[in-house]
This record gives sequence, C-alpha cells and structure tokens, in this order.
Amino acid sequence: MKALRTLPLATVLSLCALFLTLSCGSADRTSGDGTTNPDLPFTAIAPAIPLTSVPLQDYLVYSNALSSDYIDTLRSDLAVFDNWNGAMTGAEKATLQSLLGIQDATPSTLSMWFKERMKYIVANDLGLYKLGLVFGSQKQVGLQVLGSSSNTDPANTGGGNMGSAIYLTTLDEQKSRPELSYLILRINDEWVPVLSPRAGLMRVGPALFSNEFQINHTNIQALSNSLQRLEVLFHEARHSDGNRAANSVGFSHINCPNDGSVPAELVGVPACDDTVNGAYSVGAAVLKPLLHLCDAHCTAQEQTILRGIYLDRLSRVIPAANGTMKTLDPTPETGFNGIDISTFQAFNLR
Amino acid sequence: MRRPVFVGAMLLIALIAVIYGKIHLDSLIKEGRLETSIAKVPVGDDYKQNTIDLGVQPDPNQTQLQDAPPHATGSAHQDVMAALVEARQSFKNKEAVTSEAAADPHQTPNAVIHSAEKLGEIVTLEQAHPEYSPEFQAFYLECAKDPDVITVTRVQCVEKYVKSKKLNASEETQLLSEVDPVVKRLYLQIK
Ligand SMILES: [Zn+2]
Repeated sequence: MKALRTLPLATVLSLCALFLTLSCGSADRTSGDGTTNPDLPFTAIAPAIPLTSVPLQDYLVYSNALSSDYIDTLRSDLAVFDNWNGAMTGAEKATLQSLLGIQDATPSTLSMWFKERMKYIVANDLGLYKLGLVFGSQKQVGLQVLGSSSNTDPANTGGGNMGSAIYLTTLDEQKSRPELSYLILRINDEWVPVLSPRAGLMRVGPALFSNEFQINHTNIQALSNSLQRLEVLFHEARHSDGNRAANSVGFSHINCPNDGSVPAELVGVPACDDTVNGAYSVGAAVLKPLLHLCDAHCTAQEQTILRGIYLDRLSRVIPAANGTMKTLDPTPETGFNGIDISTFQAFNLR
Repeated sequence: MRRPVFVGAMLLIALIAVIYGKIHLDSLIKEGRLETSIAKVPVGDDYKQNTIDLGVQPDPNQTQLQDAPPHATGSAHQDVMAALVEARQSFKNKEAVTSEAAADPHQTPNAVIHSAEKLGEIVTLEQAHPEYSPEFQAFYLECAKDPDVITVTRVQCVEKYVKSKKLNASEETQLLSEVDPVVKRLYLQIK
C-alpha cells in the first residue's frame, strides 16, 4: 500500500490561507509600500532555555487571545498531570518507554518529554495573530496579519500543531522564494521564531472546551474531561517530531485504507497512522495509565466514555499485514538557523 | 313449605360433590398423576424470547435465556426496553464519525463519545435491574454484531457482553469468531 502522508484538513486549510498570504506579500513588498515600525520591536534569537522541573501548568505560554476560561481549564488539566502519582502497570510503562524513547516513564520524564515539544498555546483563529516573514539576506521582515480562518474553524475543531504546519509551509514556500529565511509569529509580547516543528505551537479549538464534546457535561474541569484533553495535548506534542531525511516531519497522519484493517467509517479520511509510534499511539499510551486516576474519581459512565476514546485512538493505528509495525524516526529536524533580527527593517504586507 | 326442604337438599348434594372432588384430586396428586405446579415456562419452537426485536437472530449460545422466567410487564421493564431501543439507534451513526474525523482527526468524534455515553447509561441500568439481564445481554450481542453500529461501540458491546454473561475462554473465542475482524482485533488489544 502506498500511503499518502497528509496533514489534517483543518491544518491544510490554515496552510492554504498562509500560502496565499505569503504569495500576496511578495507582490506587495515590491510595489513600494515602504517600511514601518513594528509595534513590538524585533529581538535577537534568545538562547534555548534549559528545561526545568517547573510544573507543566506554569511552563506553557498561553496566548492572550485565548479566553480566560480556556486558559483556566487547560491549567487545571495540566495540574492533573503535575499532581499525578504515576501509577501504571509494567506493560503501560514499557509501552510508554518504547514509544517515547525514554529510559523510565514517570510523570517527571513524561512532563519533560512534553516540554521539549510544546510551549505555546494559541487560539484556533489565526486571524488573531501577526506574522512576520524574515528575509535574512535583505535584513527585512514582512509583517502580515493572517487572514481570518473563521470559515475553517468549525465548532468541532479541537486542536492542531501549528509549529509543524508553519514549518512545513515555509519549506514549501522556500522552493519558489529562496530569500525567505523563516517565519515569526507574535504571541503576547514575544516574536516566536518558527525554526523547526519543535517551535511548540499548539492551537486549541472550541471542541476541546464546548459542553457538547465533554464527557462530564456539568463540570468542564471534571477529571474525565481533563484526561480527554491531556490525550489531545500529548498527541499534538508528537507532531513536533520527525525529520525530512526520514520523511517523518510532523508525524503526519495518512488516509485510512480500505482494506478491512481499520473501522469502515474511517476509510478515506486522513485520520490514521501506519506507524507504531505515531501521534494516535502516543496519545493512547499516555491516556491508558492516567485512566487509573478515574477508578476512584469517575463515574462508571465516564469510564465507559474514556474507554471509548482510548479505543478510538487505537482503532486509527493500521496494523501491519506481516505483524511487524513500522517505526518512524522521531529525531527532530535541525531546522533553520536563527538570525538576530533586532536591527531588521519592517514593512507591511497586505 | 316444601321449597326450603328442596333448597337444603340441593346444597347438601353440592357439598358432597365438592368433598368428593377434593378427595379425588388429592388422591391423584398423591399417586403422582397430577402435578401441583400451575405454570410452566414454555419450551421448544413455540417459545418466544422476551427480548427486543431489532431484526437480529437470537444467539444460539444463549442457553440461559431459555430458562429465564417470564418478566413483569410493569413500567420498569418498559423503561428498560425503551432505553435499549434508544441507545441502539444512537449507536448507528457511522456517517457522523466519518465527517467528524475528517473535520478534525485529533478529537475523538462526538458520535463516538455520545455512543459510549449511551452505553454507560445502559450499563448503569443493568446494574439497577439485574432481573432483566437476558434483555441486556441480547442487546450487547446484537450491538456487537451489527455492522451499522460504530466500530468502537461494537468493541465496547463485546466487552459488556463477555462480562455480563461471564463467558469462559472458549465461549469468548467462539464469540470473537462471529464478529467483525476489526472489532475482534481491538477487543483483544485492550483485553
Ligand atoms: Zn494528529
């Protein structure tokens, strides 16, 4: 089977908007719009900050564009993980260690694994953000507010890894525009360079928080709801991995095959993995031991729903015909070299 | 004056007949020629399983169901049956799974969540009404084998059926040979 590795529809649509923006930007830049002053000065690339044991809930940067309810809820979810005692079976531990490439699966090592891959939580509507195109050789940055993605923001959108999506789009754009170095995105009071899929940008959509999609409909921060969102967060973190040499950038999903190996209702939908260590496997492997928390704190009905979610994730991993699953190389992409843009001129793109 | 005498004679005859009948019946029972039970569970082809009719063939392995006593037809039973029918309908929503998965592959489709929610309600109902176990078991089995039901839900129905029926290993193997291969694979994966 020749699998077509694809990006999720919502991501693709967002990228299309981004691509159009970049194309238009080029035309406008040469039409003599002139320079401008960015409302937030550009800065030098900050050296990588060593990962610390700071709790996950305090480590992540939440975009000001997110509602306070979303932020409170996400912090509550991450607090569940921060306070987790890490109880898990030997099989669950072995699965996590194998999938994530860690020596000893504990809340601390899992937390560190997550921090390496996810840093910023942004709103689903990219129209709320200002984007910069860095042209290193010309010492210029083209500024653009992304077009509203409201028409690609359905209520059932939960989340997506924007870091890997922007990185892949930049790579594609560089084929026709080699002077483009990379993109920067303004989040709060920071210009965040997207140098690789490890930029750690996750967008969160209404489905993660709307009552309709919750397990517990009366308490958004109920443990069962938190576990559902934590699964999505770790799933997205996996999309920060991979490299071009191994054709694994972003660990993108593939179209589900019509060969009787996956649920018939998923056939043709880009919602499957043909690798054992893909995002669906990672999300499921993290969720599995967390379900032990539910034994004493969730209703039987909540546990049934969480088990359904766990099964849904597993059902999207295509079993190998010969019984030996493929493993994708998670080694991160080296990415672009960061540039000190503090003295660069800014100009507006339309 | 003869009328009271006539009526008295008739009453006496009737009383003698009743006493004779009672003595005769007791004699028959004592000789084992007549059982004292007044109702028996019908068996054979005439027996209709007291289960929901959803167009699914009865399970040939459901021997225990044959021995189930007739149920009361009070409101509790009607409520249970109504809940089973409603849940079963909500399970048949594969199209929604397709469209939701296409819109966002990162979120478990709401149709899957809703089905699991309904299944959870049924499990709770079963715990409250163990007297209707055969109905619940028939429901789980029909769900597990129905190709129109969401695949993940079918796996969960297999789980519930195995647990409710307390199937042994060979019975479980037999059941798994009768379900969709994807359902079987997932069930074994999470067992
Ligand atoms: Zn994904």
